[in-house]
Amino acid sequence: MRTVGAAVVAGIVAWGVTPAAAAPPRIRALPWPPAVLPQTPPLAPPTSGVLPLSPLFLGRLDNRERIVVGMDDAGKPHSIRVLQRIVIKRLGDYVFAVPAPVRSVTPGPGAESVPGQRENQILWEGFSPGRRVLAALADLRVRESVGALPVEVRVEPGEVRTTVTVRNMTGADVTSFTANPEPLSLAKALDQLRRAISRNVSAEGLNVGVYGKTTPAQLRIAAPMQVTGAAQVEGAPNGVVRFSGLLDGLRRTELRVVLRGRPSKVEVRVTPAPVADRLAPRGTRTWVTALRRHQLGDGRRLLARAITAELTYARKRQYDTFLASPEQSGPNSGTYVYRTTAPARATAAPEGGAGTDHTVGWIALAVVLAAALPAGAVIWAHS
Amino acid sequence: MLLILLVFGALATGCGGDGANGSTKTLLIAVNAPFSRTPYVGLTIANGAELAATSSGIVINTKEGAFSFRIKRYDSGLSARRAVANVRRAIADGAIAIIDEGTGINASWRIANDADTPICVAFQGGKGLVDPNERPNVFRIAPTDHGVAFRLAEYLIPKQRRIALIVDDSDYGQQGRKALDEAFERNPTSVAARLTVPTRAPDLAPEILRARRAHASALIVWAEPSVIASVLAAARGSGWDVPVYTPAAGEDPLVRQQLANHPEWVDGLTFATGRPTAEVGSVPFLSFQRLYEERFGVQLVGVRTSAGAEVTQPPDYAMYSYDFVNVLVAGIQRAGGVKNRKKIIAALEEVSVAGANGDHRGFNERNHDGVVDDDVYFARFEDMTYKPVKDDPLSATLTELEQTR
Repeated sequence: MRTVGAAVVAGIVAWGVTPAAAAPPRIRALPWPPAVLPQTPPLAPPTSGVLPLSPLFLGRLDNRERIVVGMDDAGKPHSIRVLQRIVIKRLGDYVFAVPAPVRSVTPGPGAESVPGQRENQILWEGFSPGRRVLAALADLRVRESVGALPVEVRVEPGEVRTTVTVRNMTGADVTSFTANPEPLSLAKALDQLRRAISRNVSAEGLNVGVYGKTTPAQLRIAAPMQVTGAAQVEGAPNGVVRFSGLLDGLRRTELRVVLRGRPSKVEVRVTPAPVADRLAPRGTRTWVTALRRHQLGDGRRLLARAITAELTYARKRQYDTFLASPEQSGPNSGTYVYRTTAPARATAAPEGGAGTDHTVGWIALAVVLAAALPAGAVIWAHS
Repeated sequence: MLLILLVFGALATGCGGDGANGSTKTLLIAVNAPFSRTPYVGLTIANGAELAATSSGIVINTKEGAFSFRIKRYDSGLSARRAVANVRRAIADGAIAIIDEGTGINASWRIANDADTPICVAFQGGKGLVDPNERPNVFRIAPTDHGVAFRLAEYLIPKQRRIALIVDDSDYGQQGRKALDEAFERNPTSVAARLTVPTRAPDLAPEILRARRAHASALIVWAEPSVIASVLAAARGSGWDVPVYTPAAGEDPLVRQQLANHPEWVDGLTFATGRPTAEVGSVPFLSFQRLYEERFGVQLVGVRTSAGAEVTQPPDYAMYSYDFVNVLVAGIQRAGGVKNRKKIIAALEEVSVAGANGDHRGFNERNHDGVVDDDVYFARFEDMTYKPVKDDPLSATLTELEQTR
């Protein structure tokens, strides 16, 4: 143990003796994702009612979502439906609300309880006897939900060819910082971040010691999206053209597929891609070990890599929960399916709509008659 | 002069309950329940509402002014016709809401709906009584028959018992039959027999014999308390120690009163009902019980334990009417007053309160039932008092309530 301590200290000394290192380091948190990243997703309608009592839920929740986006022929969303499946894996009561611009909600497949619906809320309440599946099929208001979708699909038909474009829309500019980090705290933060990524939970409590001044910096962060799709096109082999690609949102934001002919149907499946573990140290399992072996490298650059990885991972996790999970920091996953479908027919006319139509009709008839009568009289007079 | 006196007289009578007391107007909450036929149910509902409306001195301030509440009792006598007439009277009296045992709701909800008056069912759990789409003004805070029947099935089917389903010919029994048929639909082999017995039959020995000959190894009796007592008497009297399960009617003091001479016949009777305590513990319910008993006194069952202690009945059903009044108060506050009654009904779907047992209590657009099916627990009698069973995950988490003094 003493040897390990000595090695760590030796590593610190050997790693970077800078003028700033003479002063004790200040503890600084890595940029906190909720503060620097856009707030959505998950969807959070501003007028969603609030439970007057504190929500009660158990830890150890598993949240999975399937978001189905109905598109018109041009790729414009006209419906958004979410199947949210929450599995409670402990015994006890649960009471919580999921904020959502919800039009209607029904129990999803395998639901062992019935979801309630309030203004902009899906409500869950009951008792879990050890395991309870809560599944809700929510039909969302498109206008308030579309902005939080991860990709935009455009279908542009031409004379001979049709172009399908899938664009990653998750990019965001965030404020960060650069600094000269204290090596042990950085190594620990890196290991902590990597552990969170491997466990699919939020990375929390990432603090590093820094020497000297921190300099503000702007970063572009995006959630990487794995895209696979299929377009039904007459004349294509098996009638289907398949395409796929990884859109990291930075170096590659767009996937363009040119089709010969006009597709009768386009379906695009989008999943937040695992954040590549570019933070793995070379030749060792942990960064603390790397530090002991004097393999940490340039601390300032490593800190920048850690911040980028942390925020990219956080952004990716946002898209795992299009609807909020009661345990936002726990294991979550989301799959988005965009498909061309016929828009649902309006079931109810807007208030006064029919009356207005008739009024317009009567006015038009009156105008026609007003014009026709004198004209008829003139024709009759000249006949 | 006579005319002036008449006008003042009319004002003094309060014009149907909306009388003004200083700057605080008093709103009427009607309780429509069978006070004469099943006094335990009627009094429990009325007392719970009374407690919420008055003991905490509720005065709510809205844009339209300050309001307090008073309770008026209407006896339905378990007659649908009388219950409907009561609802008419309550609306004529200016009731802001009606708390109802459930009898006659199929007819009375329309009358209340036309007057934009919410009705809350605080006892009956029949499936068709509450429907947010068809009956937007009807709410319920009481365990649903659906929930009780499914929980009974969930509890008993794994025990590999062959069950005789016994219901009586009352509305309560027939609603229960529907719920049980649904609950056991997928497990018909678990059902040994289905029997309907007359409510007023003097002796149920022939029916019990039929169940026994069908090789039943458990009975679910969904019937009025007197019928449950008769089933127990017939079974135990014939030496048949079959386990008996019931809905909430099994905890009615009447069952124990009728079997007071044979307390051992009550032992083992297991009933399913809404849990009086929640995961947060028994503190909220015990606080409610203390308030209730300070106001109305301890409810004595009229029997004693083997040690000679008097048995008391916890006011578990009273908490439902109590909770509704609190939800109503929250709804009126959200609606900003009482002038727009439609707004109050809409607001009732958007508010929650802490229930007397610590649970959240409220409704929503899709569900006007304030007791979720998960909240049904099982309790078993032993020596004239009951305690939660230990072989059900929910019941095992609940604490035993003191029932003697």
